[in-house]
This record gives sequence, structure tokens and C-alpha cells, in this order.
Amino acid sequence: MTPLALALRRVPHAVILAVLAFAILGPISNLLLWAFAEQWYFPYKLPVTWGTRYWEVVFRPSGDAMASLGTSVAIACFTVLVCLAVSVPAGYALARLKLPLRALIMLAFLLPQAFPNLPVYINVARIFYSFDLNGTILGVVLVHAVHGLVYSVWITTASFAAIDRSLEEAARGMGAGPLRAFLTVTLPLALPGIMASAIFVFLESLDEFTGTFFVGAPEVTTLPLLLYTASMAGNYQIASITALILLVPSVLFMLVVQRFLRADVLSKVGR
Amino acid sequence: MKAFLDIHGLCVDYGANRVLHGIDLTVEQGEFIALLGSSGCGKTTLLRAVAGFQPVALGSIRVKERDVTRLPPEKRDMAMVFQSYALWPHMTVGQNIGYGLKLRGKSAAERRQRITEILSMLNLGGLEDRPVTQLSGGQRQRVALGRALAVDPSTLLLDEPLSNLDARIRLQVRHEIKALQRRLGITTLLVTHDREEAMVMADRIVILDQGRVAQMGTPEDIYDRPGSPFVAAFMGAENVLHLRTEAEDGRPVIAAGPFSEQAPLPPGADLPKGPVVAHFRNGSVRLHRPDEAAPAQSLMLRGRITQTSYPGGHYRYAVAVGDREIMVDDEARLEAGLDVRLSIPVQALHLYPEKRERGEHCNA
Repeated sequence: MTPLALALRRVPHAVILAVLAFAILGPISNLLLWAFAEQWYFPYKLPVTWGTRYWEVVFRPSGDAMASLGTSVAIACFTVLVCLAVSVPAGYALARLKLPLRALIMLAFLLPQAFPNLPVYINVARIFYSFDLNGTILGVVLVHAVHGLVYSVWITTASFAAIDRSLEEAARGMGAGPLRAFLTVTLPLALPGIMASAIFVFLESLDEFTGTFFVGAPEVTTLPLLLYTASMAGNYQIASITALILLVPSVLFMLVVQRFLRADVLSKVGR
Repeated sequence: MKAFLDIHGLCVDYGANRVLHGIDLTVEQGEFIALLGSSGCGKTTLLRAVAGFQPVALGSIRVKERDVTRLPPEKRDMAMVFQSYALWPHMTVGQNIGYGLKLRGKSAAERRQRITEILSMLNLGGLEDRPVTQLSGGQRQRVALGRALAVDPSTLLLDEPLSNLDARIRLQVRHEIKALQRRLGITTLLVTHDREEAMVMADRIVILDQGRVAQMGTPEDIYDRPGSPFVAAFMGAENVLHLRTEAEDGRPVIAAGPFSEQAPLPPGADLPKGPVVAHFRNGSVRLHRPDEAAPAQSLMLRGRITQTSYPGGHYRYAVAVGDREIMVDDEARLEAGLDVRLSIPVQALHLYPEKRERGEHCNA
């Protein structure tokens, strides 16, 4: 084959790669531009004045952004706790269950995702109203937890199912009671998967908008809500900077998750 | 003296299926018992029931007069070695072996001493801080054994401990386990499907068939005096002939058939008159050219060699006798197609009354 023909064979790959890169990096570079643009209007292709003035606005101690970042992180942490409290025992039990029943229960956790979000959250808000949960951190945490439980139960179940039963039996045979065998053998071995699910839940909670909007607003303001308000008001700089802040934990955690989630666990997700 | 381990009328169910039907077994202190059978015969289920991992439907398990039937595994003072080794991958060799000691409240110094002791006993010295994931199969199996022995259990349970090892290491570890068991005098139950493994390692063998004990006895008992066609075939007497016994001058003999000559019954055989089934090993049969003299006290058959092979040390022949094929191991080199006479010393014949329901009949 001639070098030219070889080069031509590469063209489709190159095109696909370029399109992918543009799809991924295009929006991010636009965000970056807006984050450092102090003035940018039509018909200019690039910002007219550059600067970090809006960063100071966002990071001002008294600013809304820092407060809502705190709220967001706090809600995400509580959501992770609630999800783990449910998914560790549930995942362990499900991993040891017979298959048809297991599939049925795991489907139940998927149900909230199966319906369109809006009607679900509007109804949740209506029900929460009668419990005085609207506009409280607890209410938002509960909404986020329903969402996060899908990830955490499915991934946790998979990581428990990936552990050979005889490892636990060996501990029992050595004289460990059920709880101790779980704490010293099963749990440490499932930990990578549990960590990964916790990170997914954390990121989901950090990003969540619809549920927070219906249940939390206006008392509870998370970063996505702030982002929404800012962009609705045409304040693209604040919106872009907020988006970039939201991006940081996502990228960091994804790098971590990639290390935690092993193939043998992933292959058992949803089974 | 009362038995050390006493299993009485043990029944185990999987759902609606009964997989063990009333197993009775008594084991003396320090005895090495092999549970032998093909897959699905219930041998692993029996071991797991003794260990406490498998709930028991009926019957009892007693250790030194103490009823442990309903006790959880951690309260039975037994240690199991699993087929998959079941070493904890998040711990080092030392932590694996020290786990049981830690649970028993041993101090760090005591644990370290015991771990060193166990490791040197198993020729694993210096591997204490190695992660178990870096060990070879043979080393892992020895660590698993060391973990079980570290806590000085009353009973050692081995679930096909050698089946994941390759052949050469298997022989070596087999020997090591046996020597160790002798030295420590620890009561041991071994599950295996390998006849030779059971023969070499055990003081007594229990052969299981479909959830029942088919025969129980010393290796010599089982090998030389199999109590049923199943045990005979399982212990390697795989050649089968259907014969008849008849009375001659008031004494029972094996009747002549289309391909066989009359022969006396083996000494001590007590069989009713009528059809019998004979099991015998390849190695008990001798081949003779048609003109050779027949040895005394043997069953003589006529056949034709259909196939020869050389597995090493001797030749192996397939000989057609009527519509049956008999496998014969003989040192003489003979060619396929030759008409031969076969002689089987009568004491090498395992004879059983023919069960009527066995359909196929071919009188040799």
C-alpha cells in the first residue's frame, strides 16, 4: 500500500477525533472565554476586555457563590451519608439474594428515573409541603438521595456480588462472628466499589437542579440554582465561573473513580 | 471409647431436594477420612454441613460428645481449607495466618511467634509480609493450610484442596499435608474426587453415591473388596462381564458361556444361583496365544484384539469378547486382529448378583 493510501485511510479517524474533540472541548473553551471576559459583545469574535473582576465577585467572602458552594457541598455530603446508610446493607443483602428477586428489587430503585422528572418532583414538593420539608436542607437531601440510590445500590450490590462467598466463610471458620467477618473481610474488599458509588452520588447531588429547584428554592440555594439565576439574568460571567467550579470536583473524582472501579465489579452492575 | 466426631442420620435439603440421605459416620481422634465420590454425590455438602455452612434438615453432628448441629461455624472449633484457597487478598501472608489468632486475643508477640512457626513448618519462611496475591498456587494452598492450622482446630476440613494445583505440585503438597496431619495428629476430613489421592492420604475412605454412603473402610478394604458394582467401578474395576453361576456336584461354579469356560467361584464368594455381574481391573487380565496352556483357578475367555496402545510400562489392549469390549494391560507386545485367550484369576473377580432391572444382557 502506498504511503498516500495509508494516509487516506487515517482520514476518517482524524475527522471523527476532531468532531469528538470539538464536542467535548468546544463548550468548555467557551466557558473559559466567558469566565475571563469583562466585556464581550456583538460583533466581536473574542472578548473585548479581559480580566478577573468577576472571579473576585464570585469569590468575595460575602458573595452568594461561596455560600451556595458551601450549601452544595454540605447537601452532597449528607446525601452520600444517607445513600450509603441504605445501600451498604441493601447492597449486601441483594448480592446474596437469588437472581429473580434481586432483579425485581433493583428495578424498584430505578423507578424514580423511569418517569419524567418534572411531574415526579412537583408531586414530591407537594407531599414534602405537608411535612414542612420544603425549603429545608433535609428535604433537598432526601430528593437527592432518591436519585443517588440508583447508583449507590446498583454499584454496591455489584461490588458485594464480586466477592467470593468463601472469603467470608473462611473468616467464619476462623472464629469470626457474622458482623466481624463482614467488617474485617467483606467490607474492606467491597470498599473500592462503595467509594466509587459514593463519588457518583456526590457528583450527582452537586449537579442536581430540578429537584432542588422544586423542593429547595428559594430558601436553599445550591450552585446549580445560582448558575441558573445568573444565566437567566444574562450574567454569563458569573454563570461560567460557577460552571467551572462545578467542573473541578467532577474531573477530580472521575479520575479517582476510574482507579476504584475494577472490571470485575463493573461486569456485575445490574445483574 | 466414644468417637471423636459422630455424624448420625444426617440429612440435608436444597429447597425441596434432599441431597444427603441419612449419613452415619464416626471418626476417631487423629483419624484421616477421605470423602470420595463423583461430582454431585454430596461429599462437599457433607463437609459444609460439618463445618456449619450448610443447614442440616435432620440428624446430628457431635464433636467430643458436644452437639454442634445447630451451632454457627465460628463456634465449632473446626478449620476449613477451601478449594479456591479463599485467602483474603487485602491482607499479607502473615495477616492471613494471624487472623484467627487475633480473634482469640493473642498478643502481637505471640502472634508473630506462631506465624513464624507455621511458616517454617510449611517451608514458607520469609514470606510473612508478602501480599497473598503475589504467591504461586502451591504457596497459596500452603498459606491456606497454615491459616487453618494456626488456630489449633479440633478438626481440619479440606475441600478438594489440591484440585487447582498442577499435577507435579499436587503430588508434593499431597505428601506434605499427609505428613503434617500425621505429625500433628489432627482429625481430618478430606473431600476429593481423585481415587488415588484418597487412597494415599486417608486412613479410611467413605465412598458417597447420590447422597448415601456406598461403602466405608480402609483403602485396602475398598480397593480389594468393593461392596457393590458402583464401588468396584469407581475404584477402577471398570471391565464388566455378565456371567451365570450354576451348581456342579453341589458346588456353585461360574457356568461356561459362548465365549467363556467354566471356572470355580472365588474363595469366600457367597452368591445365589443365577445371573451375576463381574467387575475386574485391566491389570488383572493376562493375554495368551490360543495354543498356550491355561493357568489354574482362572476364568478363561476367548476374544480378538481390536486396538493396542502404549501408555508406558505396558501395552493396553481393547479385546472384543462377544459384543463386549474388555480393556487389558499386558506387558507382551501383540498385534491388533489377533485371536487371543484371556485369563482372569478368580480372586481378581468382583462378583455381584445381577439386578433384574439392568436391561442389557450379554452372556460371555
